Amino acid sequence: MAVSRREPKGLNLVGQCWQWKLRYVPGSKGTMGLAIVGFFALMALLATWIVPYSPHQANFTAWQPPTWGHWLGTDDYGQDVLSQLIVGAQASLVVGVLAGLLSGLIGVTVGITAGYKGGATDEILMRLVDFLLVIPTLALMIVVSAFIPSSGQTTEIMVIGGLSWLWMARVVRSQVMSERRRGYVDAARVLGVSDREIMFREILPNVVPVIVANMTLIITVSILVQASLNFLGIGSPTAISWGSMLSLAFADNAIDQGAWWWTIPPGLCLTLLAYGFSLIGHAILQGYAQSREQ
Amino acid sequence: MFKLELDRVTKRYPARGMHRGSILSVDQVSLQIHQNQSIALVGESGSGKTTIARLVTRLERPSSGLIRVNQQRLEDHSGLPRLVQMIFQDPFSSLNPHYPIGYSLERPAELLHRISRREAAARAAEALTLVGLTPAENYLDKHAHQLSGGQRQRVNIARALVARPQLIVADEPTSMLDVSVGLGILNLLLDLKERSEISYLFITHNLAAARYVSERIVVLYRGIVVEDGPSFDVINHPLHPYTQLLVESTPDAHKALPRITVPDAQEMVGASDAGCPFRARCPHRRAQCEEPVALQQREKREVRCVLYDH
Repeated sequence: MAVSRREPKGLNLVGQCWQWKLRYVPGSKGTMGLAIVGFFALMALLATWIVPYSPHQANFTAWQPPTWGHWLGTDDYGQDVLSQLIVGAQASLVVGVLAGLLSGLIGVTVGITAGYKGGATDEILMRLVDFLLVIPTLALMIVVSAFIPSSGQTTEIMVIGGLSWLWMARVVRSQVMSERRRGYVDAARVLGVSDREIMFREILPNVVPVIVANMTLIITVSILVQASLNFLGIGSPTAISWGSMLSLAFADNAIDQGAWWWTIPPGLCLTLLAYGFSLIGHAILQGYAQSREQ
Repeated sequence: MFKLELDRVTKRYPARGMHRGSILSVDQVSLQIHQNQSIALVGESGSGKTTIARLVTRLERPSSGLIRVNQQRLEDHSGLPRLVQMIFQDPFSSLNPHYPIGYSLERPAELLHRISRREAAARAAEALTLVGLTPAENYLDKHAHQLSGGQRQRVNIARALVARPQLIVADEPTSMLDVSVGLGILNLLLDLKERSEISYLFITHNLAAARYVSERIVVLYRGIVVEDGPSFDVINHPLHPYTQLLVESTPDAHKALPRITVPDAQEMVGASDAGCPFRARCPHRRAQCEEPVALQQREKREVRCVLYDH
């Protein structure tokens, strides 16, 4: 295996990051995915400093097409579209990533328990998953969000994360079932290691690539679901997100007005960011498959 | 003094898929292993020998019968990992690929003997030295994939030794290794036995290996004991027709052998069948073989065959 050779000492940080990337997120797909996500992450992090105007400032001429003063024009409230777009990246990334982590946490716990314990535990947990899987998730999320009074980002994260862990649980379960048959698990049992330690200390590290890959795919879905919820007018009414931008643009007939600068950028950003995460996910899975073949 | 007893132990597995009922893997097996004794379980695949290994290490629970360790029931024995350890057949999957060798050795020492991490590290190094992986420091940081099959099997033995057990169950420890490497492993097991009064339950399909490491050989066929006796006698004067077949079919590198015809197991005998399970392949088959046969005592040996029924 090429990656197992020792790297020469004194390799700089960039070099180390590149080695890491080659090992875990290989290929040009991986590079592109990391570049896209990195670009938007920087945009979200530096938003406060790089926005040309305050995104809430509404005293510009409405319906302006792109000019040197407003690179992406203005909307019908007289707000700068580029500033909104930059700040909107925060909502998509924060909600997407945190909802992904939350569903990862639930899905991994359920999947490992079901896959390792088997028997009745597995049966009960998987029937629950099957039951939740047949419920139309988006519809359920709309209902749940409508019932929760303070519709902030936390609610969005809880609702999206709390209902997206099902596939994660299934994938982790099947991986754990094949890991469980490997000798090192029997060896740990003969040594009297507790079930919990076997599940989380022996097996878990060996299924991490699959978990991470699925997590990126869940993040992709979470970003799109959050945008859909915002587009439908669910979620925080004051927070700026790409979904809420699209929602307003649609409600205010931006398409009839020919204001493409208001509709295309948030749509394109959403697609790109989601695509970036899914590229990373595929690259991780590919790298995992390659390392398994060796 | 260490003592392990199996008293009419039976293990059934629920049948899978289209089949109904259960599969009888081990049928009323009784065995005793004393301190510093080494017993080999010999038989073909499906004879139940690995199941016995898994029962003794509590990886499986018997369907009926009793296993006792030092007069105590195996199920209730809280200190079993400190008494019985196991070496696995597959040296490639039995070490966790995620962790360095050091972790695989130190963690059991910490857990089983409640010692500090530093003491555990010392014990891991000591175990590596015992199994001939020296200097130990060179191996502690390595991952399993950086070692050869023979080295991995030595690490597996070291891991069993870290627990300081009285009995080591070795489940075909050499079957996935080259013959010369495997012989090194067998010699290591013999050295350890001489040094530390350890007992072995040695599981193999290789009669020569069984004779090399153990004083007693127990031959299993379809889950039942068909012959049991001192290794020398069993190999040189096999009583049961199945043991005779096993001995005949062990090739001798120095002699040109006449071709041995191995009777085919075409006529399958069901698990529920009471008669001799070997009768379908047996050259001495007769009417009494349809009836159950008891183990016959013959001096220091036991055999289950109507040929010796007097």
